[in-house]
Formats: sequence, structure tokens, C-alpha cells
Amino acid sequence: MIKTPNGIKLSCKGWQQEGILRLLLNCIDPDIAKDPKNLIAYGGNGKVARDWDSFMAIMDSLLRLENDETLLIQSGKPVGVFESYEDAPRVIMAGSLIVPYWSDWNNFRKLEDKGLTCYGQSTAGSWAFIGAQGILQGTWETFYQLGKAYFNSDLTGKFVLTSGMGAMGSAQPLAATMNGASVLVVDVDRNAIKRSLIESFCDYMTEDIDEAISLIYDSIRKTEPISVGLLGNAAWVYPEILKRGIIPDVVTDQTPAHDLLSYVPLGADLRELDNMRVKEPERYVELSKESIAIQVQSMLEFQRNGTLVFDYGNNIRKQAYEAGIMDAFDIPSFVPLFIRPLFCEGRGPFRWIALSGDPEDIYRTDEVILKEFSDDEVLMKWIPQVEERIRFQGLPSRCCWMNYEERVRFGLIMNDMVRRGILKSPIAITRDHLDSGSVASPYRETEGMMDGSDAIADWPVLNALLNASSGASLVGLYGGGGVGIGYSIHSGMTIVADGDASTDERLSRVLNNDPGLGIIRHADAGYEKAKDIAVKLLKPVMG
Amino acid sequence: MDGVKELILTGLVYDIIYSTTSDIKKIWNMMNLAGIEEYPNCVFAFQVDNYEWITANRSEKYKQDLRNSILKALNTYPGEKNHLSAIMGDSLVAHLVTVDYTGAVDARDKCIEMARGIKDWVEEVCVIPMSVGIGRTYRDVRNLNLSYKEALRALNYKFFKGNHQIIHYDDITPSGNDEEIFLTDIESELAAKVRGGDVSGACSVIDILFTASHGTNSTVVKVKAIELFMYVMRIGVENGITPERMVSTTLSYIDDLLKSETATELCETSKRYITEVIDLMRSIKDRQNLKLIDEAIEYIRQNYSEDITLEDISSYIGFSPYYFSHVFKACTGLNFIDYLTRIRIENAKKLLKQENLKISAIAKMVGYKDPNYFSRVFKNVVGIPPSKF
Repeated sequence: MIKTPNGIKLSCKGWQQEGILRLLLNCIDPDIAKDPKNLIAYGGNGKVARDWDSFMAIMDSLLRLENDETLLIQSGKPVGVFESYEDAPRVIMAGSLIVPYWSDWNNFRKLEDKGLTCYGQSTAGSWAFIGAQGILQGTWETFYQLGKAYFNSDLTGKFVLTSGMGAMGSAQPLAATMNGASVLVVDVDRNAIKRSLIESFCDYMTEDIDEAISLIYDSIRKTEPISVGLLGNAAWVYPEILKRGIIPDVVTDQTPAHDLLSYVPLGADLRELDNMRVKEPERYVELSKESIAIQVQSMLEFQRNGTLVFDYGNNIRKQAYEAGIMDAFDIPSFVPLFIRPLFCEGRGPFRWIALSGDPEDIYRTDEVILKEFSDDEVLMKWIPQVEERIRFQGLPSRCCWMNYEERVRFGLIMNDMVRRGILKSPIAITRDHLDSGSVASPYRETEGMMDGSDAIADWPVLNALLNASSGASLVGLYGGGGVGIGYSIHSGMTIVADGDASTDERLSRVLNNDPGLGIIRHADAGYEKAKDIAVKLLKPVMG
Repeated sequence: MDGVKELILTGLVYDIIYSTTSDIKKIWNMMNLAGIEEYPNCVFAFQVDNYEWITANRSEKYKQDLRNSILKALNTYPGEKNHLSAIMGDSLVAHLVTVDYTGAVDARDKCIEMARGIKDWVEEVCVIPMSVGIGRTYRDVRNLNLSYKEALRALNYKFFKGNHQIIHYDDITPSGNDEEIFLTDIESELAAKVRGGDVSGACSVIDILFTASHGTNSTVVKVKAIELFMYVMRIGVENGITPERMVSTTLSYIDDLLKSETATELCETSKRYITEVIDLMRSIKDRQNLKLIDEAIEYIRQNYSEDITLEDISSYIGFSPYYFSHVFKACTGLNFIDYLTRIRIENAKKLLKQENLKISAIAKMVGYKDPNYFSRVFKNVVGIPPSKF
């Protein structure tokens, strides 16, 4: 086990390298990582380095890296150190990228087997993963925006029906109740629900659909939020709820529908399915498609009855479409519904990590947010709740969605806090790849762009190049995060606020330009809100 | 100031163990106030072995000092940065630790190693024997209430393993249905053995019962043992022991039973109780039998001139012929026929001294129809024929 260093003692030749090293180690901290022995941080098999030799070589390079050098990482393997200059990135990466014609899982696996690449997901490959808080925050933000857009900013007394409590779905019960909703989450895996009970993400577990519904209605009557984990298959539960004439306010799904061998179909016991998955994968896939079709038909029926139904980025619509549900895409994706308006103002998943390892540093930054950004109602609601409910995993960190102006302002404040010793040591500022201008992913973040530019991948490339030239500490460009190889291209960035006065300039450039490009990208696509902000704050060249 | 810090520390331990707050920031603030730098992730439950014995006839102050000395030893253990302990009961102290680990197996091994170091230290400083129960590790401090419960369950297992133990929750056998321990058919077998006065057989059944209860909560086992005692008590009363005597005997053993720290002790206590009940029953029975045998002897003395059979006499006192023979021999040292013969011959000797009676008449008078047979028996017993007596 390699313990993430903390405190103020430097192992590297500067805080830029030190911050990057600590983030790398943090991603495989046993408290955070899914499988640290195999360098997997999260998301199936999202790795931080290609193999242990590469990992050790990266560590060694970072420890010896000068303040005017740049380390290059190619799909998790360090390939060279180049002379650059002090304001240049200390690390530049590219990961999981394949020339588009060959960019699919089959080719990727072949190249991976040859040891030529590795899958870094999103923040595993860019060493910016922070554990459950990131997942919770994204889900919370979705429910918050949903409430704001459709329920007068209040989900109290609203019935949310969803499914999937593993991995990305694990945050659903808590994110929904934190927003006041009464949520019923269906999962076939008893252990997933029990885990959620232990973590207090879910309030109640039952195997009885009628008891579950009764609990939900009781909660709605009392206007007290509740999360109920119902042990069952969504493809059975959704139609059953319809049969009872019950129409929830919101319906979605986070089963692993993107992977037909992970989705659990109806009609067989779990042990039998485990055997079938290995011995008859084709039959298993067929059964999964049949069940997905039933589930999506129910979701469409809910929609026809007035329920707000949305796809939560797990590709269930496409699977259902291929199984013959031709109107599956009548269900909208969560991004155009709730997230895109945020992207238009450069608001996105911002996060920062206390390199000191001291939770007090994060609590001090929280205090600043509550004081300096008191007009931002989302932050005012999120910070107290996350402080109370979520423990730190690995290095203490915080994430929240901040807009274009907030990011740079807050980045500079944190650098000043480091400089004045209010924080014990520097802060690493980073973000998820699901951001305003950093991703091209036609089935998720860029679905249904106003100008049809869903699949245009220039933007994340420009984003990475811009961040590199702006002076981020780490910049990377990657393929396949979230939705799989061939379906997305995205960029990551990290900058270390080391307290140095000269870092103020770098922070200003990076934290302006990174979200600024997102605004330009959305303005270019024709979104009025983005156009207005671009004209006011940026220098758009055209339109 | 140290006193205040102590209070904060104790409050923090209780807050964590009893899960009084779900606010992680509040816990952090309390940790800050208490000077604790790292979140604990596991609970050890330390218990003094043989506490009842060690503290018997000692003052309450002695007991308090004992607990405080354990607390002090835990809080000065040199191998730890955090010192988070609190007294949880007469002989019980909870100790919260921070263990660096990668997975469940690694966590178990490291916890056991750490517990061993702390246990050795406490035993050396306090000069008392200790056992330790270890709960599982939880990365979220708010789940340490679960770790504490697991530590207690692990410690409870000491009941089956004996004293001086370090027991991790992962190593204990999950207990079955507590309701099903002490199976009814085995209990019936025990009743039969007790009624039959079979001490070794009853003790073997007790061994089987306690083996079957292995892994069950010690309190449940004790309750079940008390139920068993009540059952045996009823058998004792049914078999002639006075209720007063039975109650006083049973209560003294129940006192020992409650003080038992291990299953072995409890099993031995149960065996001693059952042995005493059987002995009591036996002595009562012996007395009752003696009375009945006296009646039988009187009957023989009055009716020896008649044709008395084993069936007649056993029927007279309400025994089976077999049991009568057994009891009669136990009380008199002679079997029934030998005793009857002895009575008849003694009376024949008296009659022979009266010169006017014929031997054939005497034979008839003492219960022998055949004078020749009487003469043979007489010679066998006395050594000479009746004609020469």
C-alpha cells in the first residue's frame, strides 16, 4: 500500500509536481479506489497508469522533475521529459485515444492486450478522482436543477422513481432526499441496497412493492423526504407501478444498461444468470434487451401520463431502440433538460483538494464560499448539506458547480489563503471532464446540440491546447470516458494553487479560459444565454 | 484543562459509539477540540477476565480504580497517536483505533496485531488478565457504532474460547437461531438420565447441549441454562426433594451460573448442579426404599409360614419384582429368598428346641411343605440336620 503523502514537506522539486504526485497517489488510495492493486480508481476499469512499472516510473519522474520541465504521459505510461518553462504544464497527457475509424472497444482491447494503451475513464486517467463526493454532487446537481426547472425549485412531496444503486447510481437516494424528494430506487442486488443503508445513503430497504409504495405515499403525505430501496427488477417494478395506476412525478434509470452483460434481465435467478453470462453471452444479451424494452416501454407510458421522464446517460434508450422500441428516443437526455443551461454560463463541476491532508483546510474554504458567494443559492444549499453528510475520502476535497466568474474568483482567493498561511499547504484545483467546453459525447453531454454539433470533437481538443498554453499544471486529452471507446473525447486539467504570487496569473488564465471556452462553444452552437455572456465577458470573434 | 479535554474525549467516544450524530463536520470539530488528528476506523472492546473473582469482596472504589487504571493504560499506550477510550461497563472499556489497511483481510490482520500490542501493554501496566473483541474496520467514522457492536459480539465469543483471548469479529462463527439451542429431544434425554439417577449419563448430555450452543450469545446460553435448571428442579421435586430444599440448592447454582465467564465454567456448574440433584434424589429414594423394605421385612416376619413368593411381596409394597429384588438386596445385603430362608430357619431353630414338636410339623410351621426339602435347607444353613440340632 502506498500512502498518499500529506503535510507541508515537499518530496518533489516544487508544489506543482508535488500536487500532481499527491493526486496520482490519492486516486489509488484504498479509501477511494475501486481496485488499487490493479491501479483501477473507478468506473469499470478506469486506470491511473498502464501498469505498475509505468506507475513507478511516473512517480520517479515526478520526484525528479525540474520546475522548467514537462513530463509526457501516453495512455498511462511516461514516455519522456522535455525542457519547457516554468509556467508550462508539468505534466501533459493523452489517453485511450484511437484514430476515429478504428475507435471501438474491439480494437481498443486488442491494442490494450498488446500493452499499447489503457482505459483511463475520465478522472482516473487525469488523476482527479475524489471518490463518492464527486458522484453525489453530480447527481445532487441534476435533481436540484430538475426541481428548479420543473417543480418550482422544490421536490418536497414529489415521487421520484429510479433504479440502479451500484456505482454511478449509488448517489441517487441521498441526492434525491437532499433535495426533498420521496424516492423509490429499484435494484436487483441486495448487497448494493445494504451497502447504501450502511452508508446512510438510503433510508429503508424492502422486498415488497406495496410496502415500498406505501412508504413513499406516507412520506409524501408528511412532506418528509425518504429513500426506499426496493429489491427487485426495474423491468418488473416499473410495469407493476403502472398497473396500480400510480404515476410518479419523475422517472429515470441508472441500471448498467450501457453494458448488456451487466444489466440483469427478468426471468431467471441470479445464479443462473451468472452462468449464462459466461456460457451463453449471446442469450444473456438477448434477455437483457427484452427486459430493457419492457422497462423503456413503461418509462414511455409514464411519460404519456405526464411524468417527467429522462435518460440518465446510461444508453438505455439506444439499447431499447435496437430491441425494437422505435420511440425510445422520445425520452430526453438529462443534459439538454437540466445541464445545458448551466454549461451556457460556464457553470460546471469544479473541485479542489487539500494537499495538506487536513480536513480543516477544506472547511476553511467552505467558510469562504458561504461568505463570498452568498448570492449563489445552489452553493448555499449544497455546502452545508455536504459538510454534514459526506465524509472525506483520501485527501480532503470539495466539489461544487461554479460558473465562469466564480471559478477564477475563488481560485485566486484560495491561492491567497495559501500565501497567507490560512491554509496549511497548497490546494489542487481541478474538475470533472463533464464540463462546459471539455467534452464531445453525443449520447450524453453534447446530445441534441442546437446546431447539430453533437459529434464535433474539436472543442475538447481546443480546450486541452488552451489550458496547456494558459499554464495549467496538468493537461490531458482522452477518449471513451463515461460512454465507452468511440463515443466521447474529453479533456482534463488541474492547476495547483501554491500560494506564489506568480501563480495568480496562471490561475487567472486557466480558470478564465477553461470555462470560457465552454461558453464560446455553446455560443457558437447558437445558445442565446451563452452568446450574451460571451459578448459581455469574453472576446468572441464571430457571431 | 486536562479534565475538560478528558470530558470532550469521553463525550466523543460515546457520540461515536452510540451514533448520536450523523453530522461529520460536527464530529470533526469535536475531534479538533479533543486534539485527535485522524478519524478512528475500528473499535476494540477490552474486558477484564475473571472480573467477578478479582473484585469479589472488594470495595466500589477498588473497582473504579481498576477501570480507571485500564483507561489510563490505554491512553498512554506508546504505539498510538490517538487515545480514544471510554468505560462502557463494570469490566468493559471501548478503545477506538485508526488502522492503515488496504482490504478486509489486511484490516483483520493489522487489527489483531495492534490489539495484541495494546493488550500486552495494559496487562503489564495494570497486572490484570484481559480479553479483546475486535469489530470490523469502517472508513466512515459514523459507522463505528457497528464496529462496537461487532467487537462486543466477538468478545462474547470468549465465553466459548476461554479467557485471555483476542477475537476478531470476522473469525467468529455466526450463531444459529438462538431459539433452537438446547434441543427438546436432548432435554428429554437429560430428564430420563436425571430421573434414573445416571450421573455420568446426565453429564454427557450436558456436554452435548453446550457443544450445540457454541457460538450463541452467552446471555442467551445462560438464560437457556437457567431454564434447564428449572426443568431439573421440577424433576427433583417430583422425586421427593422438598421444594424449599430444591429452591435453595438451585439458587446457589444459578448464582454461580451467572458469574460464569466461559462456556466451560457454565458447563461445569451445570454438571455440578445436576450431580447434586441426582445425589439428593438418590438419598431421598434410599430413605423411601428403606421404609418400604422395613414393611416388606415385617410382612415376611409375619407371613414366613405361608407360601410367600417374590411377586407377592413386591406387589405388597408396590414395586416390580425386579426392582424389589434390587432394592431389597441394597438395603439388607441379602436377596429375598436368602432372607426368607434365614427367617424360616431361625424360627425352625426356636421350634426345634421345644421337644414335643415333630420335624415334619416344624417344617410346615415355617413354610416348607416338604419336610425332606426343609431338612436339606436346614443342613445347608446350620451345618447339621434338624434331627441332630
